[in-house]
Amino acid sequence: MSIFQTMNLPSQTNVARISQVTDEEIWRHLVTPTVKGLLGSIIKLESNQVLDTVAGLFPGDEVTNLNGHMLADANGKLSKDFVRFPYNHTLYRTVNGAMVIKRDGVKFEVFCWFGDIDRGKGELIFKAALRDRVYDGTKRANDCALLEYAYDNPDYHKRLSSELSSVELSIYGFMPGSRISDATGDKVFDQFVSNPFRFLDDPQVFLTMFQRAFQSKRGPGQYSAAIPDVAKYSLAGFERLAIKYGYDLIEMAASHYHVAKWAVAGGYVYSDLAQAAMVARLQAGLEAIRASGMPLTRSQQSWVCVLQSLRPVDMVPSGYLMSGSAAAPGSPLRWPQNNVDDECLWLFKPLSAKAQGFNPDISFQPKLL
Amino acid sequence: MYKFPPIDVADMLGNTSLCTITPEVIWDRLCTPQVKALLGEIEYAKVTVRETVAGDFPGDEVTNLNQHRIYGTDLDRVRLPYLNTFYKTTYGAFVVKYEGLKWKAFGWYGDLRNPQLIFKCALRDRRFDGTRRANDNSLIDFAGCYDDPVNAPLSLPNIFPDAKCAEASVYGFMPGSRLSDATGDTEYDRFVENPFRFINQPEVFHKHFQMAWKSSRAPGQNGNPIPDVSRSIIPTIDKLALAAGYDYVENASSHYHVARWTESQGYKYATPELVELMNQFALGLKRIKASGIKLTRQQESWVCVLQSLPPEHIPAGFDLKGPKWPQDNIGAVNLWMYKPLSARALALEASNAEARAAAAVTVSAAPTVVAAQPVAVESKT
Repeated sequence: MSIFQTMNLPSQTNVARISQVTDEEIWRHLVTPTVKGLLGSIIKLESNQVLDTVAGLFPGDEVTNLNGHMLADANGKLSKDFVRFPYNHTLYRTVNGAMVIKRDGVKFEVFCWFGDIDRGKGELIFKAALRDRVYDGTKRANDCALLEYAYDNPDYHKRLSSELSSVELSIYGFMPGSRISDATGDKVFDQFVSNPFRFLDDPQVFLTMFQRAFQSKRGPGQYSAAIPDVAKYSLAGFERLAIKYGYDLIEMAASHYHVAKWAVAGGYVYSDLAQAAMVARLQAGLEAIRASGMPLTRSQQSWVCVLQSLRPVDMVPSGYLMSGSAAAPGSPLRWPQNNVDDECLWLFKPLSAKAQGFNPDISFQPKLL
Repeated sequence: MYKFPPIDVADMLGNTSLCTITPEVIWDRLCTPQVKALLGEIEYAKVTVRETVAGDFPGDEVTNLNQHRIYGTDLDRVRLPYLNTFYKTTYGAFVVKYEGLKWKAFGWYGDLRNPQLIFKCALRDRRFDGTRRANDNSLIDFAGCYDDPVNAPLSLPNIFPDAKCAEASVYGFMPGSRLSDATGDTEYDRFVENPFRFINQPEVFHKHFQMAWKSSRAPGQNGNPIPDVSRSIIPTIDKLALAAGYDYVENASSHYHVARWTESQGYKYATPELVELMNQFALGLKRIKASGIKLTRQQESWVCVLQSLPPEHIPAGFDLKGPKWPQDNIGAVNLWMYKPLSARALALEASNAEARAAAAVTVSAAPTVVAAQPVAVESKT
């Protein structure tokens, strides 16, 4: 037998299998019929290039340098305006906008823009990505230029398994013209709905905003109206691509209750039993509230889960506190993922035969020293 | 239905097909019988992905030529991680490093705490040459070279925009044959390694030149070549580059004997100016020989080096009155040579040759062909 082991050299340097998903596969399996209808047909591939700058081709097209690398420009001047790993950028013109696909060695991400991107009037209506988690829990994860959030936390971002390959999905779909700030001009309320956890340190402002949001049709995170078929089709599309490119697991981090419910309905299970128990208590709390005569829409259920993170707990409006008071005994509850700190609510789904029956023995809680 | 054009993502991200040439192929086909015999059998392997400049032993380091500060402060890391494949052998080690645009194989001889480099071979994609991005490759040794616009990728009349060009470099020196080992004279070793470093010190230059002139070493040969490296390696490199989808293989020839040797292997000079320059050297050397001075191949190369001295310091009878050797391995200028490999490159070469012939109907061209002999090839890489 040869001393030379079989090796996939490109993969072992820096191009994962998921980065090889083609533009056609992305268009066919991830961009939903409604999104395609909004964009209109593809007219042409306008550009296909490799970029290594944080700046993109138009406003909103930027990427990130989360590790703060200082790279030398053409004149040798050091700057944080470059990314460590160059990325591939393809721009397709469509009848009503544009589709951009970016890839680096561990991730692809598709962006659908509605309107005129050249004049800064493009509206992001759809974003979907698959990301290889191979470097999660290390600083190398943050070298991916296509990240909005860091993934280097050794506790909250640790991989489920070193034996099983895994991709994380992420998806956003927003109807054009439906953004709260566009409809109301109220940017603070828009920011609140986008991420209410950022307002927890000012309970009065939080509650003022909460009362408005609770009466709306928007769930937390939904600063624009959802595109209906995105939730309907996207999981199947993601799983199809992840399976085709040889991944054992697919994962997601659920920002809110309605997202977690959507994932569970799609066959995903919570990775961390302690987090699963927390969500089960929240679910039981929601049922108790409804049983008390207060009906809750799906959006309101998610809002009530957010509400449990408000401190002190006696600020929580009457009837909505699930735990942590004399009237509602037990330790206080909170939604595990707030998109402010690093904690994520990870869910996973086995894809490969190798991963069937996989039962991770994992806790994302930091170990006490 | 829109037809999506194919996109080679891995290649665009800089993971070229050159890096599908495995260590096994390099060992089997590029490490010559003499190199293998010197290294001995492979005993075990260790494969790692690395991002630090530091290596496992002296000489195993890589570079951060652009002086990037990874994580904002760290000069000791490289921008682009590389794959390090290490194979311990009976008498040393065989190492192949892969950075998407380049692989570089090393044969190390002796105790790995301070081994001798006896073999080095590399193939490097030239797509970023002439830009700073070229220097992001951590397997490049020379600063201030490949990023200079003077080293922009191969430009030929009507060359296809997606032409794939790879630079080949080869180095093979017998263990124990370094001049400094044999003589204890490290300055003389440095002189033979690169005499252009001494051009501004004519007296020191002449002291060492007198010794080198009588030796069997050509400029660059501070070690003695391994004979079968130069004999067999170029055709194999050509085959591997062609199989990896490359249209052209190129080299930067440090000295006259290297240029003539690679010319004998099918390489052509990259510009008409270089063709003319080499003709001038050939004619000048011919004049010297016609004057009754016999020149070995090594001495021909030394005569070419001499032309870089101020005229008053060029020994009598050796002034060629004009041509200067273009590549001194100090500045950025290289003597680029290319060899068409693919069918489309060969077809273009033929058609360009026809066009040149047609244009030169009224100009007589008498290329001088100098017989080739096996030599060690040095490279900037």
